[in-house]
Amino acid sequence: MFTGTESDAIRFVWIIASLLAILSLYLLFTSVIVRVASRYVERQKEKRKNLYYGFIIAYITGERNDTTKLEKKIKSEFDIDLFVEIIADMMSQLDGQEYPKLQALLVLPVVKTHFWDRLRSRIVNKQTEACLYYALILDVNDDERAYLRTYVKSNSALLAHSAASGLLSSNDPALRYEAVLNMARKKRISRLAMLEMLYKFHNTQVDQFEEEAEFLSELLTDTSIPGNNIGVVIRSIADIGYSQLVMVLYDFLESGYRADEDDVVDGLIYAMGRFQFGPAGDWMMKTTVTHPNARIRRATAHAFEIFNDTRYLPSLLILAHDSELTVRIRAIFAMVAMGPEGQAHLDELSEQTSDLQTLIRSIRNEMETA
Amino acid sequence: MMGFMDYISIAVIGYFLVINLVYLILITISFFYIRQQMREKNVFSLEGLFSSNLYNPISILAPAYNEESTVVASVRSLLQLQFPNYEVIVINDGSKDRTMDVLIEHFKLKKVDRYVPLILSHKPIKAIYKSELYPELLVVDKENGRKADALNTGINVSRNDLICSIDADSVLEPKVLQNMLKCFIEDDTTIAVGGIVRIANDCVFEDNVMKEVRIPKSFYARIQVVEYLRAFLFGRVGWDYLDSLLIISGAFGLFDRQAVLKVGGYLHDTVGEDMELVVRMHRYHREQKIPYRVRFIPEPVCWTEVPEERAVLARQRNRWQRGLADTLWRHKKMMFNPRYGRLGFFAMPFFFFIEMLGPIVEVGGYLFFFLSWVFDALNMEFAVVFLAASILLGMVLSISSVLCEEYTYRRYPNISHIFIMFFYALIENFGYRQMHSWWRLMGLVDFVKGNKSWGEMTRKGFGTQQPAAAAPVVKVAKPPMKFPFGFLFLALFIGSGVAFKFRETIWPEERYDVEYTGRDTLTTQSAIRPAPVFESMIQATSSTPQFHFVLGTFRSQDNALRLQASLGTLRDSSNVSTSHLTSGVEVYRVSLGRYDKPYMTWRLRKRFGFAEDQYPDAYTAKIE
Amino acid sequence: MSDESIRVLLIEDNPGISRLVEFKLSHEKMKVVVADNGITGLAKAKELMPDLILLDVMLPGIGGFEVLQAIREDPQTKNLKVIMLTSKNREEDLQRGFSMGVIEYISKPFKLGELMMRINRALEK
Repeated sequence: MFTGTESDAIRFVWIIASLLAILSLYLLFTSVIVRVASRYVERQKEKRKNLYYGFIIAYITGERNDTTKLEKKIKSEFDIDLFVEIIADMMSQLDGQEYPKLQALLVLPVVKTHFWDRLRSRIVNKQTEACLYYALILDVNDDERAYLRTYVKSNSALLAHSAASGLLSSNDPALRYEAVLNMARKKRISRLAMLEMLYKFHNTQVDQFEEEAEFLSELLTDTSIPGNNIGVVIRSIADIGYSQLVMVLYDFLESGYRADEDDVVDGLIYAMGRFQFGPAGDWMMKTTVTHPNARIRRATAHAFEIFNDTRYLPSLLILAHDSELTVRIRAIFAMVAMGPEGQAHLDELSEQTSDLQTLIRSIRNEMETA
Repeated sequence: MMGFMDYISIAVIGYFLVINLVYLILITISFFYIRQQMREKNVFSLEGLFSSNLYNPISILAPAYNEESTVVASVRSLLQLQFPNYEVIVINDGSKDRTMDVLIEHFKLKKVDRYVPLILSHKPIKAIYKSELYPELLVVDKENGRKADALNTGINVSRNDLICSIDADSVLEPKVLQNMLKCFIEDDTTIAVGGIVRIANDCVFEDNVMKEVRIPKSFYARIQVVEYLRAFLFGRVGWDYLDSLLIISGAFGLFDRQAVLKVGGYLHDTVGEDMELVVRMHRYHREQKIPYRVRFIPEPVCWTEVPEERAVLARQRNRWQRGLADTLWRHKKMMFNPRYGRLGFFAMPFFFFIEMLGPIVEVGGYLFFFLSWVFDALNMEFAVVFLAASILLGMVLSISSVLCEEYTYRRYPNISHIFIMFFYALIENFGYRQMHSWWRLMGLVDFVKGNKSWGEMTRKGFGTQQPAAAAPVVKVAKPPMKFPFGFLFLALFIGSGVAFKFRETIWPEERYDVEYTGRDTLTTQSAIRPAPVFESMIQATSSTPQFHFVLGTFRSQDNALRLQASLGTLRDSSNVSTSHLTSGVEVYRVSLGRYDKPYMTWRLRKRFGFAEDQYPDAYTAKIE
Repeated sequence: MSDESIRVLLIEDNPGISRLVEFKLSHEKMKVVVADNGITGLAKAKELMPDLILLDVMLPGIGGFEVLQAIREDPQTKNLKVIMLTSKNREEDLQRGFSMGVIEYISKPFKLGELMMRINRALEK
């Protein structure tokens, strides 16, 4: 096609074509090999699984207490992963006296040394796996903790998260606090991940409510934590129910602590509602009803709804005329929930505009049928 | 001198190289990225999150239109996902059959009132129902709109943080939501996540859950298996890595509800509403300078039935192409605009030049090859090798996606499946690929035609009327047989081309060639008086010791003899003779262009049955 | 009656748990049949007519509640005793289960001892 260099061009394309042909044959060949190999691995896995299940069940039902034979069967990395996978799966389903027995199986020397090696590896994926392993067991020694602590500060979201999980499984609230603090200081951590952290911070096995509350109040005053994370902290405090912190939170609200950050204010208002803290309601009637941010006005309406007290009706009436639709909706929901007195106000309201009328009618119907 | 043809050839080869370079980059990225992601599984246990009241779950939005036979099974499969607290909102889009009755009957639906803010506009809702059996099931009965309309209704009805749009005929993997939620937990700024769509044809389902994965039986579905693997494992994963994913399949996508509301929901008047939404979300966030992420996870999440009939498939691809063109046209501002970063400089141009103009170049290429062949301007060898190379490249792409699947998810259970996929990756190139390009080209043609009418319509204010293709989840129905004008036209075109090419074989004529064999340089221009009939004059300049060529071919012997006579007087050493051909084929046409390769001439001669000894001189000369 | 062992059908998809429960129950001289999904579970319920069914709510394919509904709708299996195992600890689920005649309700993660106790109590009823 090219006068003069024609044969060169053809040769070039020939070379490419033959390379590609070889490559596709090679790929086909590899596919088949990979498939055969994975078949073999699957089969081995099944065999091993049966073996381990037998041992584990015998161990936790008390049939057998000796683990030396089991230890001999765990040799390679493959075995260890499989073994840990099985136990982790059972741990998620079981509780009671079987749970510590499963944990005891996880700290068999061969398993533990292996994960200790992984923890010290330089590959992030291996570190992450190791961290998740430490989240399952209780007795983590100081060296291992030191590693977990450094990993919590990592930039990799996955590693930081799993290292935090590793620390959060501990029964020492100070350690758990450290993990949460380090995570909360991160700017890029998501709301959902933060929530997860805080719910893990709360120990459901042992009652440590007081200590936890103390640590959380410390967390709240830490100014290095970005506002959105503080908002999540406050919300979860209210949700888990650390009622001893309610005065602290009210003080924040009243004194205007970080009042320029909407996430914080939003969270505080939510908490006031959850704790049914009356004085806050009066304060909100004066201030947040006219807050420039619609989100906060909406939160206020929601809080009034939870308070379920007719003295907030005047404020709700203001909110029912809000420029923002979501605020209006919330306010009307709150008024419907308030019983006959609220209903009377609503009747008045619905005579004003047809728009409000349909809104009120449909919300009423919904509340009735629910 | 480079002619017009050479420029075209260079353009074709250049285009070919660029495309494949891009594909190669995408493959390499994808392969490593997928392997990395495989290792990252299960970091978030989410137990804490799920026990929190603050966590707002997910709404699944499933539009249904005329699906009385399948709707119960699909909804039941949606209710079986392994995820705590999610909500299923089925939107009956004004079905004309018994879809609504079937739903009411089977799920014991009861009318409820629920306040639905009209944030996004849509056709009126008739009623909202709740199931007595499944508290998480909500059914919305509305007047018929289109799929986009139904989805917008669902977005309004939903009160959760995340919404998940799916086609009512797709079956989700049980762990899908958990896997996808991971992206939102990893990064708060995530606004949309897509996943791999796989082909469910002929797979065995037991009560709406994938029991056994099988390779489909029909030809078209098998080809699409390879196609989907390639598109999802390579295309989208690579784009995800480059942070410029522009498509999330309409069959499955998880979105941040607020982000969707901010950009105004799905568009009603486009056929590619799924892509359009994602591009618009990109555009909005870039323009407002809000950090965001659109993700794709290479986890198989959704199984869907693909069309097995040619006509239906053609219509689907036509629609996709129209959707693509429409989206790119709407957002043409983003192209090469530094404001949109790598989206503007990489993703958009890729979709425009390769995905959108691809069929034009491909069909144009075939046309070019055909025409050059008809007009004898084709270097056969080059053409064949080039074709082979491009086919092989396509195969390598397909096969490496099969291999990638082998390394990672291994959803296809038998070794024979690899061979089947390999085989289809090969034969896909013969016939299907061409047909596919043709459908897409027609899609572009329809777009250009349709776009004009849209323009007029919007001015008149009928913005949302666009014909059939967009009805939500089109049920596979055989389109009425039309007279195949396109096919007829194509056949006529090819036929006339072939006829032209072999005109001398088909209509043989008596011809007289004046041949020259000798050592001398000869200028014939002045010598040839009578106008040659078929071939024009030939200018020969050569220093080879002896050469031989045809000076001219004539219809009448007289003319040939006259030329011979006039030449005979030129030089003593020249030996000019005439030969009588009963059926002339341009064996001896020694044009100084593309056919001057002895090899080719020999091939032609052989093909048309000339014995060697008939033209001994000529043959020797050529070999020299 | 004493030589005829008690038959328990376990419909549960987690292999660890089903093996464990099977092991534990067979020690108490009960005959255990395991089904790892709803469909086989239903078929086995009809075939064996077990004295007790342990039913997981989260099952692949048809879910626990649908299995329960099918058991209750079939006149043959209508009166079988059912204990539900669930990781969903939601009130609506509890109500739904009890309204459909579940005798006992155990939420995951569960204690093995408690499960055994409830099984025994259910069998005495």
